[in-house]
Amino acid sequence: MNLTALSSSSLCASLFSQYPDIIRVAAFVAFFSFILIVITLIVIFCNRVRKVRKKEAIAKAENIIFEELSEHLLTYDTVTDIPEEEMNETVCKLNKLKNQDKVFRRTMVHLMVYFQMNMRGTVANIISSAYSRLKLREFTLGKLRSYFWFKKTQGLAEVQGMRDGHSLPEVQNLIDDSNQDVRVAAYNVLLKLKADNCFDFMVDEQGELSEWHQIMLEDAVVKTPGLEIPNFKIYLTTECKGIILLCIKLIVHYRQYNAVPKMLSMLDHEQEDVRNQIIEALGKLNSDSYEERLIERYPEETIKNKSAILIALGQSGSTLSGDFIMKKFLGAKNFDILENAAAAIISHPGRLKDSLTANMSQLDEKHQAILEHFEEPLNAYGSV
Amino acid sequence: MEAFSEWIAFFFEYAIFYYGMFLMFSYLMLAIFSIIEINKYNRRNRYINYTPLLNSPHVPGISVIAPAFNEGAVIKNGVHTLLSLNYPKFEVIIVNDGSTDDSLQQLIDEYDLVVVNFFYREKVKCQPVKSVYKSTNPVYSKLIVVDKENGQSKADASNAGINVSSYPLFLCTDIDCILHKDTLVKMVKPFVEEKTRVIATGAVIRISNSCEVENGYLQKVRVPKQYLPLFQELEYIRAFLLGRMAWSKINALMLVSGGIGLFDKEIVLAAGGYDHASFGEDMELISRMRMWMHDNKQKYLVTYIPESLCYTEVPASLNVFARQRTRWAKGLAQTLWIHKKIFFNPKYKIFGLLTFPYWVFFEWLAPLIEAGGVIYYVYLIITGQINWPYAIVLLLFIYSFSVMITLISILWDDFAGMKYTRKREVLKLCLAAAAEPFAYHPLVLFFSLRGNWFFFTNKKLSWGVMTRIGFKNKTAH
Repeated sequence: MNLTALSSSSLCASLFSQYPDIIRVAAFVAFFSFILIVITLIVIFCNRVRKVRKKEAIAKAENIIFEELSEHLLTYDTVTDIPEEEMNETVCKLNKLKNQDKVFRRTMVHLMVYFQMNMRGTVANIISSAYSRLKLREFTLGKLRSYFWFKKTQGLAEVQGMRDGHSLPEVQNLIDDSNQDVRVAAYNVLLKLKADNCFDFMVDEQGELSEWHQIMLEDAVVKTPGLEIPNFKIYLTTECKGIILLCIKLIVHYRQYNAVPKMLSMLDHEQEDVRNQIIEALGKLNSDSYEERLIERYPEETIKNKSAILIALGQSGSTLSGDFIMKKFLGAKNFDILENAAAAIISHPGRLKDSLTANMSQLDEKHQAILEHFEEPLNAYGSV
Repeated sequence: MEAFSEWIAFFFEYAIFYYGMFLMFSYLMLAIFSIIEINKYNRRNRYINYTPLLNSPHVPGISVIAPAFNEGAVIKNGVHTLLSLNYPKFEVIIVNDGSTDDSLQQLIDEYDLVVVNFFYREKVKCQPVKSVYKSTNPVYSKLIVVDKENGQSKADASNAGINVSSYPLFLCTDIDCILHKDTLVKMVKPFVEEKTRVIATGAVIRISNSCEVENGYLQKVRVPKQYLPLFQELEYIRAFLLGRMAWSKINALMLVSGGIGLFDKEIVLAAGGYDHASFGEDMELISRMRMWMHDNKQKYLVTYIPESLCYTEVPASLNVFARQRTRWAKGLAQTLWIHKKIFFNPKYKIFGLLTFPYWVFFEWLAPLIEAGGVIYYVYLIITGQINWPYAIVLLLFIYSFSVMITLISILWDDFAGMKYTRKREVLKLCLAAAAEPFAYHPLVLFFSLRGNWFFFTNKKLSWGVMTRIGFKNKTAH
């Protein structure tokens, strides 16, 4: 047997050795490519068959689960109304199916999360009870303990969807995870489930939060009814820029005017974008006594922040801000300053534009045209 | 003379062989990088909830810019599609680039447009703007129509759109493109997600020629039925899912297609906007933006997302196809020549040391070498010097590899969420992959050579008109 193999391999070698190198390499690559072509074709078509079958299996599982739930459990007014026998029978049936098939289990979790996210009251309570009795929590917790970050975020999404307070200790373990996506998803769950100390991450987080993370967390804070809102100014002292930016947004959203002095003191923050957001926030809050500090700060700022200062001052109706904006408008050499000063004049509640309109003829063509642009009501959308 | 012919023989038999091997190896590497990136994207976005982005007042605003020249057949539906995009903060800027048909009048009538007092400032160069229109109907408050003199290029019209835009990001597209309703949300994500500044993002473009379209909205995705669009579909899948995804993985992307690209306006303005004299304005802009970032020592990313967000009509007639491909080839040669200082310049890091040389050697030079190879083959056949068994092995070597790479890209497309539901359609694509090297590639090669000829002889080339079938009927085809 071995001798035969040896002789055939040496025959092969002697057959190939008579050809030039490039032909041998070309033949090998062509052979390798043909094998890959066949494998790729098989994978393409098997993958499609697998996808279709999976889709069918999911649809079938969804039907069965939905039927079981709606016929046996969701017809009752409260969880306590469901006869123990019926509950046991349904759970037993679903449990059996769940243990038989992975697709079934996944669909069950998916469907229950979907119900829980979209229903309130009795239906939500019944679903929650069925979720517990079917021990589906174990599978979600398994995901939280997974090695892979994407499994953890999937598990966190399920905990959040199920509003499952019992899983909070496991979620707490993830706030120290090395992956920031997992950490932020965990903060999100803690906020959504109104966990104790759910704002602690504002002190603990050391990594840089991206804008996406800030948007997600802001949404979690703002859209969770009954969440106890802290005074966000206490978190402005953190080293983490992302947290500072998030707090500023939340301060504006909750109109926490007592944060204004702290924000004013941060106007000389080393990061330009932090200063920019503070300036914008001060304008939006429009509290007393921010104008002087902004005017004082103006000469030291970048063009972008100077523009933001003008817009912020445009929110206030005082003579001080009006005079300042007017001065900058008339003396502007940079176009961005001119444009933002014009926008500020039009938005200024002190009828600043009326005093200008009286002297319109004294303005040059460019100044007149830019004022007319901002006065045009149809230009209001999106401009500056 | 004999020495010369020996040298030629050596060049084609050995040097070009190893060149081909290297090219194939690079394709394999691109395929590997690409699937890693597609997997990463899928994992990151499978359980993503975009609702916070859709509800947030803090998302960056986006100006959607769509130039239009004689697009009467598609303009109304095109604007409808753009206005119905899902995003909390955006405006749609249609630039009527001196159309000679009734495009502008159609828009005026359909959207109740009136001329407004608009302070127009030319931040980047373009032909004069005649007037700016806005709608008196609040439903269309996001719409701005710019009427300008014809600039004979998409770049010129896009620059006018940039000048009028008011948001920090802009999406450049074509009026005939059908965008997925979540295009803006998905494309803005890299801008808000990455900690390094993202200067541009692209997405996969697919072919709408045989798709079912109703009132500018895509109803069903179908594999193109016509000869040229079918092969172009394969080419697009390969280019977008294999090439660009892989380049994006190593932050070495040099091209974000004109059909769909989201850009950081500040960097575009700093780099000088689109070059209206360029025939490959999309690639030229990315090159200039990258150079500007390097020159100013700023870190940046150019990213790509593997989702099919844009469907566009491609040329179905040979005339239009010839013009388009000639223009692309000339544009490539032009861009590489203009930015020759990047070539192996360590200052531009991966862009100068890898991407740019790759484009020179394997995108620009490949058709020229291939044409040389074909001529050499013909010469050997005529003079009777050809060794047929060797020639067949070499042909099989090239053929099998190219079919394999195309099939791999079809598979990657499947992993990225292929839109074709019927097995028959996928089979059609696979068969087309087998026919492509004979049935389509020679055309691409020929028009590529033509483009280079136009470049070297400095022959004038016009943009020409892309004849649209339009979406007036239920099916585009």
